[in-house]
Amino acid sequence: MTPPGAPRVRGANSLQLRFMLLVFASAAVLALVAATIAYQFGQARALASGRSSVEALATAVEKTIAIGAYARDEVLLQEVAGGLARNELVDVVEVVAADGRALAKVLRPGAAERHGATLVLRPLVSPFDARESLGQLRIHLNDAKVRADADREAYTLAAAMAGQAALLAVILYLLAARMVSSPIVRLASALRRMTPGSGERLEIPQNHVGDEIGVLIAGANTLLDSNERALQTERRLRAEVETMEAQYRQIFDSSSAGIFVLDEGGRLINGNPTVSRVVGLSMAELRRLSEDDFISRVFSRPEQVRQMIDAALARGETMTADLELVQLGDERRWVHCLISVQHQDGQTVEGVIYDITERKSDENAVRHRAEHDALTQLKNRAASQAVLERFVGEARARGAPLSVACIDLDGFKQINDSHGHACGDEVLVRCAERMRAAVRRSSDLVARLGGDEFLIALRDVGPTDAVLAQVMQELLAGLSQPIRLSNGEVVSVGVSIGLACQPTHGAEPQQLVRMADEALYHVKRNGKQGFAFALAE
Amino acid sequence: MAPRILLALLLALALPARADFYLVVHASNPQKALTHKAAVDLFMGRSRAFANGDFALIFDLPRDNPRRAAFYQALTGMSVAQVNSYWSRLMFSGQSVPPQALPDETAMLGILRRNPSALGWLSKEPSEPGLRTVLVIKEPTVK
Repeated sequence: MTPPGAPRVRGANSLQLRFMLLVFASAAVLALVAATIAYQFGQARALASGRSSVEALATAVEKTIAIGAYARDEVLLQEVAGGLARNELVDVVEVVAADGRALAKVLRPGAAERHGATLVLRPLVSPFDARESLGQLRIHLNDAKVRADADREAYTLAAAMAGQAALLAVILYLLAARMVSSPIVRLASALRRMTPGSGERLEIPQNHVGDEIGVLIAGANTLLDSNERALQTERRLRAEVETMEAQYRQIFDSSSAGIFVLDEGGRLINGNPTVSRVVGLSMAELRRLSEDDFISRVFSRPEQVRQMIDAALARGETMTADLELVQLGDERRWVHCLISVQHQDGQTVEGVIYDITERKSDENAVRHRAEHDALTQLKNRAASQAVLERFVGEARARGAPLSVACIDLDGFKQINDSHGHACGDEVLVRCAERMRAAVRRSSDLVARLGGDEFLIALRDVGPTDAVLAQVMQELLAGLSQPIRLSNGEVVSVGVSIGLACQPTHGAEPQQLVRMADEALYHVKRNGKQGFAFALAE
Repeated sequence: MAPRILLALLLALALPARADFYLVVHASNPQKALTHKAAVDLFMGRSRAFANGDFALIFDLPRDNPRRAAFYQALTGMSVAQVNSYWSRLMFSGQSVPPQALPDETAMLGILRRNPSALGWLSKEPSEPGLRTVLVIKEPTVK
């Protein structure tokens, strides 16, 4: 809406000014034309009038002149001619006899006889015989005076016409301003002051009821009515939309599912607070992703997400998968993700993610329990077989060596019998820790096969490698250290180790384990606390 | 002036039918006859001489003569008033004077008998041998 202090219509845009200019221009043209015509007309009339007044004078004295000419009374002629010549319109008065002799000739004082002057001629006839010509009365007009008079008269007439036109223009302008322009200006400023939809209406002034201004105001009111109705409808609709939007926004914001929308380039268009919480980025960081690749910043395997997008696009279906997020700190985080592709306004990707880290952790825990020994947290027998098979396969494929050690604790059964199972378990836990410490590499296998039997597999270590001997020494020394139990007692165990190496002793897991086991028995039978290689077959 | 015209008319009607006017000179005057135009010129002051160049003395009858109006009407076609107006314009300049008026036709006859330069008019033709009629002007038909 135009503020109340909006500029008024001024300058060349003002209808009133344009009208005024047009009126005055028309008046000027009219005045010019009228004045020109009036001038011409006035001049012609004044010339004719000048001539006709001289003609009238001539008529007045004609008879007397004729008598004077008849009687050859030159004094009379001179007198009458002199009387005529006192008129300023006349320069010279001549009376010429029929034989061409001048009977009388009088010049007006100050006048000179000119050639080419307009002549007023009157034939003189005898007063007693109309057939007898006595001569001619010749009057030379004072053309300059006649013309000057005519000009003056013409100027007066022209000025009167121009003045009339100007007066008419002023009256027209004032009338137009009063009857048309100022009501329109009032209407315009009233409209400008109005607030849309306020129910205000324009009042039709008493003197404009039924005329064009009245019709204009009525039209404006009709427009205001329909405008207001449209405005109300629009407001209602907007309120509805806003309510709906608020509801959806509430759902969007408070949803336990993370919802995000990506553009074609994988940049984030919109994401709800749950997304921020699930992916572990603040809303501000999230908003910065509108200029970055959301997918590769958030998911640990972005190509998986892109494959889902392609598949969703190809099949027109929503794709779902459990995806791992980029790791922040130690914890691995997982989401269940639904991806669909929309084709409105270009291509957008809608994604819904649920945090399933906990579920995933539970799954992992179950798997961990299945694969590990609950007491020592070392791999159990079943898992150790699988790992060993993998190790053997890898070593064979790479042509690398692999060493397998079977370990048995000496004196454990006696501790178990004399101190109880709890103490036995404590010993097993401490021994497991010492074995892990001795092996050092987490990629190597340390497993408890059951009771006090353990299995170790060292990758890339052959029978002649110094590291094998070193690990064996550390196992022997470490495991033989006294163990202080939680009840304060100190116990000691010994250790017997049998070794078999791939490819020296075999290329199959079972064979390697069997040969290491045989070597272990050999150690047991020959005094324990030591290690021995299997015999090559 | 109107009663006079009326009188003239009455007289004209009263007198038998129509009468002629006689322009008369001395018998010794060489002018044997006059044209009507020459008569007008002489009586209306245009010329003051006879054809031979001798000075002419023109005589008129008095204003109250009952025949005078009819005479000027017959001579110039003008009423007495017009003739008077004519003369008054010429007299204004003092250059021309109207013919001298004599008391009556008897005086006219006397002057004509005595003066060879005189020219006058009579309503009756003179029978004297010493006089000569130079022009007879017929009175126009009374309408």
